[in-house]
Amino acid sequence: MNRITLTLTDDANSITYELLQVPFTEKQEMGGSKIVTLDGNVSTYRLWGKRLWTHKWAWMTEQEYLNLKGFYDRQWTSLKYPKMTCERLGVESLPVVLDISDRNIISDCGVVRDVEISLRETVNDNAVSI
Amino acid sequence: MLLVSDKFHERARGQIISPKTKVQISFDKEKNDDVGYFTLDQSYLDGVDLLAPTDDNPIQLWDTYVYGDYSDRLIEYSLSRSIEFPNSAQSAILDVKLNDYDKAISYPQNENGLPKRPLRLYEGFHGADGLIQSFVGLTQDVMKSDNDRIVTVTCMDFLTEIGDQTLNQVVKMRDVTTDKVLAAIVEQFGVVHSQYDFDTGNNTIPFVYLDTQKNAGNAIKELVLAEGGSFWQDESGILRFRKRNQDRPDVSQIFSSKDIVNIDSQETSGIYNVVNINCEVRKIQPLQEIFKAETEYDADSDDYIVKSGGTYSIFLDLEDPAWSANVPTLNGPAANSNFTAADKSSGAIVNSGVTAEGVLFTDSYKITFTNTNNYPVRITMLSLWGEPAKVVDTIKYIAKDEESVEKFGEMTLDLTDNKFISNLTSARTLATEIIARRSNYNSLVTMESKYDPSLQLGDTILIESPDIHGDYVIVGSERTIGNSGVSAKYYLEFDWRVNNTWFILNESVLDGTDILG
Repeated sequence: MNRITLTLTDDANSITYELLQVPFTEKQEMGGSKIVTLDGNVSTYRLWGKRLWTHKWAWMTEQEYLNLKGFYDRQWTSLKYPKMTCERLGVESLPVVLDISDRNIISDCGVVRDVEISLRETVNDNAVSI
Repeated sequence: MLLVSDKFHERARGQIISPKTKVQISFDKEKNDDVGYFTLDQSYLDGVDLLAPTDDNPIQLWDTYVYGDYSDRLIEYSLSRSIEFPNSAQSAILDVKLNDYDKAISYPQNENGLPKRPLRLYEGFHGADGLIQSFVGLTQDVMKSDNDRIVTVTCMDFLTEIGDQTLNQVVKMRDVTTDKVLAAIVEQFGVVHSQYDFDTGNNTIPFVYLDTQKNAGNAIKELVLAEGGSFWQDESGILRFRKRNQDRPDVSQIFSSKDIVNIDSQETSGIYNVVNINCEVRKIQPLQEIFKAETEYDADSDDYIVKSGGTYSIFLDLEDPAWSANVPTLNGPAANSNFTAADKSSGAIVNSGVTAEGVLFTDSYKITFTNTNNYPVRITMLSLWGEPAKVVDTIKYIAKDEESVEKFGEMTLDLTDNKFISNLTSARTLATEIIARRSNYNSLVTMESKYDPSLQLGDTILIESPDIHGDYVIVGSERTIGNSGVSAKYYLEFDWRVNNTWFILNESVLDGTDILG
């Protein structure tokens, strides 16, 4: 059986993460609205559908954390989103908006606890410049 | 209702609906010289040549610009249309929000991010055989990004643009139907013949004079009101004028409980049970004297004094507007424009060296005298001849619904000083129709429902809801599509033609319920 791995790639780096036995969550996001007509039935206006993945590492070394945060920081300097590949889910080189949780340092070695990222699918890989 | 496929309607009424939108802008207004009609065996499918639309619309000026597609920047839009009562002029306003993350569309980075850029909006549904054009117009403002790098731009249809402007040329016509006057007005703003489709008007107007101070929108409204017709720019950009339509129309669509989100009737949309028409009708008269002045010597006055080698100008106030005025000649024939002059000092009659030029305005005439003699002269008599448009008739017509007056009191609509109501028949038909439409409680119904871009103002729809039932005419619409969702709202009036029929000779009963047209 193929292991589920997550690869993040940008112009400066590419890292493949082995996803350990914690949930790698995929959520469906939908743009649009629902209306309820007089007969009580629901009609849905679906303008768009995108996926959102989240994953949490219980702990990371300082270097692992900095590598991961590098993807986050480079979004705003390179003006490009990183690309995500997860073969098991049929995702290949998909631009994603990467968000990262707070940095909770728990030791003098810089170990970080509870690192959570979210990856939101987007077609256009140009980031909004600040 | 716009012509669309059955699949389009099916998608619009489905339970899972996936709207699709396209927005195009021509920032630099560059013309696509290759655009022409698709020619069988010559043009390439999916090439630049346009498929001729099904209802024989010609290519519009809008079609010949090179447009950029900005659909992937579209965040939200809101399109509203409304009909004004009583003159049935329609207008459309579109507000659009665009993503300007890279400042590619906002001014000054985009040097063409200026007002009056053509913009087209198309709407439809995924899987429904293409999109329909639902708006064409011009942007109003300079494109500016806000702090979130979003450009919000308001666009108005071309008719609204025209309506805000004053005429840039005088419109002077005689014995013309309404459509000819409308054409003369819109052509001033660059609209060509292929861009409008006007019914031949019922009214023949004996004299039309619209000067350059006249607001074009008001002129159009008065013309349309006198006809009891409708005037609008449709979704594809064609200006249309339709005469009064007294026939009961077909129902475009049925809205039932499975289509309606919310339906509510509000206060009355304005009861009128008395219509008061009071207008003057002018007609051009044969050549006659339209102005006369005689002067006497006055040492202290410079009026009508033309200096040696100089000119003298004066505006002559005319009692009535004039179709034409002949330029006066010195000592000319008595039955035409003429003037006499004398030496200012000696009073001797002058027989040469003084000429005149003139310009005719709405109700005045500017005359300029030139004196080439080596002494000043006084214009002793001036007689201006022309073809005046005199008031030949005053139309006074009052229509009243006594039953309504008893119920609601007198609610009067005054239509005075409309120069295009040219005869009693027009006045009577117009007043009668207004009374038929508005003399009873006619609630304005607001309906929130599923969104259907094929519906147009003036369409009759059948409402079948628990509280409200009947044929209603769409008099306004608003729809918004964006991150906040999709909403569609229609403003409806009960279709008065349902309960009224027109008097038909040899069929209707005199003094019956049928309305005399």
